[in-house]
Amino acid sequence: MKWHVSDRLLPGLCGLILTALTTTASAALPLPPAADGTAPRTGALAVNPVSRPGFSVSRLENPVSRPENPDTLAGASSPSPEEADTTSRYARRVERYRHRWQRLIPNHHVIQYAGSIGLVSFGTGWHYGHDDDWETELLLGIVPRYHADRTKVSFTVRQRYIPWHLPLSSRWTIEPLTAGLFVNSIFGEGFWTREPSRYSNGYYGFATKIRANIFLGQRLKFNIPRRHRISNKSISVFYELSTSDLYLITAVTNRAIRLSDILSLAIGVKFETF
Amino acid sequence: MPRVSPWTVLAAAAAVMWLPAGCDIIEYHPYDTRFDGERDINRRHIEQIEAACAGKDTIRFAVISDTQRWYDETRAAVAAINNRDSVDFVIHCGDQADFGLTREFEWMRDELNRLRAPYVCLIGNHDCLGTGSDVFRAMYGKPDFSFNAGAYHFVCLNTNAFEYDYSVPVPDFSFLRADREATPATTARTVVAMHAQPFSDQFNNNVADVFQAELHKYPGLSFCVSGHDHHTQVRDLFGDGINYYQVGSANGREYLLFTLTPNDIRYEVARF
Repeated sequence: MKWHVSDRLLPGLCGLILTALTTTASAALPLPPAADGTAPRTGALAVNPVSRPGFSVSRLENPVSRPENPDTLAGASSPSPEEADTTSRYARRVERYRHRWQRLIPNHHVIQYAGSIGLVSFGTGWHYGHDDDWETELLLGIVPRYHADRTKVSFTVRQRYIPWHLPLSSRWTIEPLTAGLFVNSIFGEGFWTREPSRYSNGYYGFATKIRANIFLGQRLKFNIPRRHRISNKSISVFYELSTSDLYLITAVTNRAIRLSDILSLAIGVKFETF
Repeated sequence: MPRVSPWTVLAAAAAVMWLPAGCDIIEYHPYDTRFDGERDINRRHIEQIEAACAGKDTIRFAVISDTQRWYDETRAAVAAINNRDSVDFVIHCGDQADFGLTREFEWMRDELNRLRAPYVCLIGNHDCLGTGSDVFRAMYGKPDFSFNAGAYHFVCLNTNAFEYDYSVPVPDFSFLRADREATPATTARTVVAMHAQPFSDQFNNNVADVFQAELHKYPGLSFCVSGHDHHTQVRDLFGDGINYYQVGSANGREYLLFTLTPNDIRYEVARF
């Protein structure tokens, strides 16, 4: 089957399939134990409406004790035992569903200068892992036109590993090594993932639209004291040195092209929201 | 293991990372078309060529092509050409970049700038990839141009029709007509250079015969030079006595050296 379709359709389809799978999976999985360790009892489910980020509490209570709470999923009137059974199963399922989607809320943001993904790029991301040692970011960057005919936008997905967080004091932390890779895609005519069909197969043998890159970097983090926090809990400054797949191929096969010729510097600020 | 201060770790890692850092480490995108250094190179070098060759009867020039991603070989070719006697200029028949990346044009410019003689560059199909044609235009100038060396007229054309749609004429017959009309009446020979020759996959072969007929309207059409196919070859493509000299790619380690006199054309396949 020949893929005439634009390369925007494929990610859209993947997103739809992913959403469908997630929804089905969260509905099908068995009930996890309640957060406070007690066995679930039948009865109306009262859900704490002010869930702390990434953490939500479901408490099962006798409907008689909280009939007038407008936020109970069970509603104002006390249900019959059969109804209560169905309602609480539904409530638990919905709660799980909400909890899983809540975990997708990005918890840090990035502004970056240069780094082969734009003159300036803005991104959002997730830090996770047993020691916050993994990060994933999505960024949009602006590439001014210079000698080309138009300004362009590029989109980047970046994955980072941070093996060490070394505290200097309560306020300052050094992350002496960050490493990872990023895939960048530039939007515009004249960039393709697959050569236009008029070319024979493998005529150019690479994609002008997509670049894979690897990088190393360092970061310095300032932890904002609680009483001074407005919307972020820490600010980090970072730099990264990266190179792309095509530059690597060129440098490896040519002594005239040195490592210094193929590096690209990124400087940026990261705001950790939660 | 002794306790190491975090500052030491930071400094040590930084030192290792920054060791290979070069001057132009800032890049907004591999295709950002942002570059430093010389621009409009063809025009400036043509001025030098025309001034140095004015009134000369014997002209000697070298032709190289398809140096894409062969920087070491290009450096060797340049050194070999520099060792030859009285080379008036060098023609690069295109494909100096492999992926059309902005830095590739900067790297190849560094190599070609080692030539003692002035050089001109034509555009190849690989040079058109991504934003490559924009970089070429800014760094070298228009893809179709011509110049005079002594009594000899050199026409340099963009023949990479496969990289364009019909909004850009390739080959540009309007350019050919205007250039012909501006050719000095004292022209003894015309030499035409291009990246992809007729009947190659890049050429607009629908107009191959028309193209050749247009070339014949030039005074003293002598021969053509081209590249693209990565091997040295001489063929009378149209059976009309006009040889197409195809230059091999840099990894083949051959270049062509032509000596023109009013009565004679000599060429040499030079190895390096």
